[in-house]
Amino acid sequence: MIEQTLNQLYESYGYRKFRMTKFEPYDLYADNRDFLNTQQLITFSDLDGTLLALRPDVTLSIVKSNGGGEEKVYYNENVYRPSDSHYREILQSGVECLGVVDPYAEAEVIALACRSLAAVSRHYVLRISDAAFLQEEFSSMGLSEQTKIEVLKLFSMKNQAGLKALSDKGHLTEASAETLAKLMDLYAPFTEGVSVIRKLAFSNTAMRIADELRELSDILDAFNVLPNIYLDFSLVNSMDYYNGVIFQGAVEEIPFVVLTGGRYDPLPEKMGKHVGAIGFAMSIDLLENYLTKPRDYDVDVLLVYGSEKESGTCPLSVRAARVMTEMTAHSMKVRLVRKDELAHMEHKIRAEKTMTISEAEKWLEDSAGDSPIKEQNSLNEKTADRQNAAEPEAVK
Amino acid sequence: MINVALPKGRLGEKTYSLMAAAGFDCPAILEKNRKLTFENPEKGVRYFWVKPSDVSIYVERGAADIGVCGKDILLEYEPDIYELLDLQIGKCRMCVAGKGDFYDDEERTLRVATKFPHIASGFYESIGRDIDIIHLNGSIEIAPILGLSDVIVDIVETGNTLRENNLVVLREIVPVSARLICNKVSFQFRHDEIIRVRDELTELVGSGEKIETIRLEH
Repeated sequence: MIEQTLNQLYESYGYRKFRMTKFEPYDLYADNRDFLNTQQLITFSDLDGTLLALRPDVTLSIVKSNGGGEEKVYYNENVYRPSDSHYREILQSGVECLGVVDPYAEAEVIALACRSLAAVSRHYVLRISDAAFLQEEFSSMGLSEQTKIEVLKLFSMKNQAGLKALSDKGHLTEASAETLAKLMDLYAPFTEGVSVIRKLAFSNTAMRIADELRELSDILDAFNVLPNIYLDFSLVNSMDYYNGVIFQGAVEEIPFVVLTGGRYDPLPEKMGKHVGAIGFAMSIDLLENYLTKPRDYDVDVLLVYGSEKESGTCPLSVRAARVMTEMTAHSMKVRLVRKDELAHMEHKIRAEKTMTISEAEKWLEDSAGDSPIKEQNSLNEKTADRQNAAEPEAVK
Repeated sequence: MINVALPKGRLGEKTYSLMAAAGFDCPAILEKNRKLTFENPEKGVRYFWVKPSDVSIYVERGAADIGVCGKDILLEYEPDIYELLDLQIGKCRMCVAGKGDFYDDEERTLRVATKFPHIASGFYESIGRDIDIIHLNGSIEIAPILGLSDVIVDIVETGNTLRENNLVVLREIVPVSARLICNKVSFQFRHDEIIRVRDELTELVGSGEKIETIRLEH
């Protein structure tokens, strides 16, 4: 259900569905390991001996297939990645926008990320960081490559104590440590956050980036998504691939980040394509696991069949068939089980009502006689309610 | 209401004492009963006890919004959490220890017994020494005595246990103390509550005030 809602959203913004093969040459992934954040791939040889891999990611394939033109695509695909020392199949939905990525294009993708989150939960937060801004600040402070990596790690944990330890060791000047501490502690509504970092910008380049972020916040405001966006430098991604805004989305019901994305111009550039790129991906499995409400019942009625008195000439089997036909015609879910099998069902069925054939006949008769519409409606409503409940808040 | 995971044992008692002194007390936790969680709705906190090495798991997966655990656990498991504050309690050192007359023969692979294989292998990798990790779950000190390992990597608080077993600290790897940790998503959705706890604790820890440890049954 979530998938369809998201697909509609992306199509309404004119994104084209991207379809791809399950396998790609191993080299595509081996050459871009930092981008994938993983070393492990499911690999195998094709019949002609070429080494193939099951895709761990869709973005690389989209960029690979791009010929240098402007493109807006979305996808729902399974990807194969290691987690807890096993490979897992993960269903991902995502959006990629290639071409000239101007502030509008950036904002459109971020707005789509917000709308995707809004489609699954009433309470969501999208956090934005800017890899270019941090990188620029680090360079102005004259940090060594090793210190940069350490500082980034501390940022990802909001570890102020670690920052102090670095400055005590002399890897950071006190002034730098103070500025970095303020940036690390920052978690503020986007527009407010941008004015804060303008004051913390060391160089003209950093100032220019802050100004671009301000323009971004104006466009996001026009998209009506600004209130849920925060500035937070604790999101950290590979600096080799992400060179601008990076963002992550979370919803209140799920204790993990469910959406990640960002600007990654260096990837197409590395593949020899002169386009900018921004996109995001969401883990659909994670959303479904947490947001789909468990059903109370598997069926409305469990019909127990057998060991009843035959009434007149009509065999019980025929009566059962009639009851099934009539009940299912009222869009009820009915499961029939032989009485002698009731105790041996492979999966216990949770039913709202359990009836024998005679009871069902009587029930149908009553509801058809006294107040048929009311009775049937109430049952139908319940069924409808249950279907709604299975969907996320989104629909409302 | 924020959920707080306390590590069972002395560190947890100290942590609760800090929290109480910072204004997040919970009288229910002092009562003798078999309850598993203790709430104080007025102060907006719910406490529960878990095994110290499990605190980071509860926090990472959001069953607890915040918790307190040793830096050793964070270094060993590298959970994806925020490390908001160094509480300056439960201080000790992660060390390499061995017999007093230990001589490191670099021709041979060094056998290292430890409860912290990740920290130990990371340390020896950083100095380029080949080692053989022996992962034990307790009584590490006995390993070099019985010749199971050449050295051990373990936390050392006072050094008494080492001394009693004729072992000495050969090298300090990293200082350890208790940290206030926080789930990354809770940080966004319960931001004000969590920042309040952090700021109150920061002030208390910074003031250097001596906090009486409250004894708790758990």
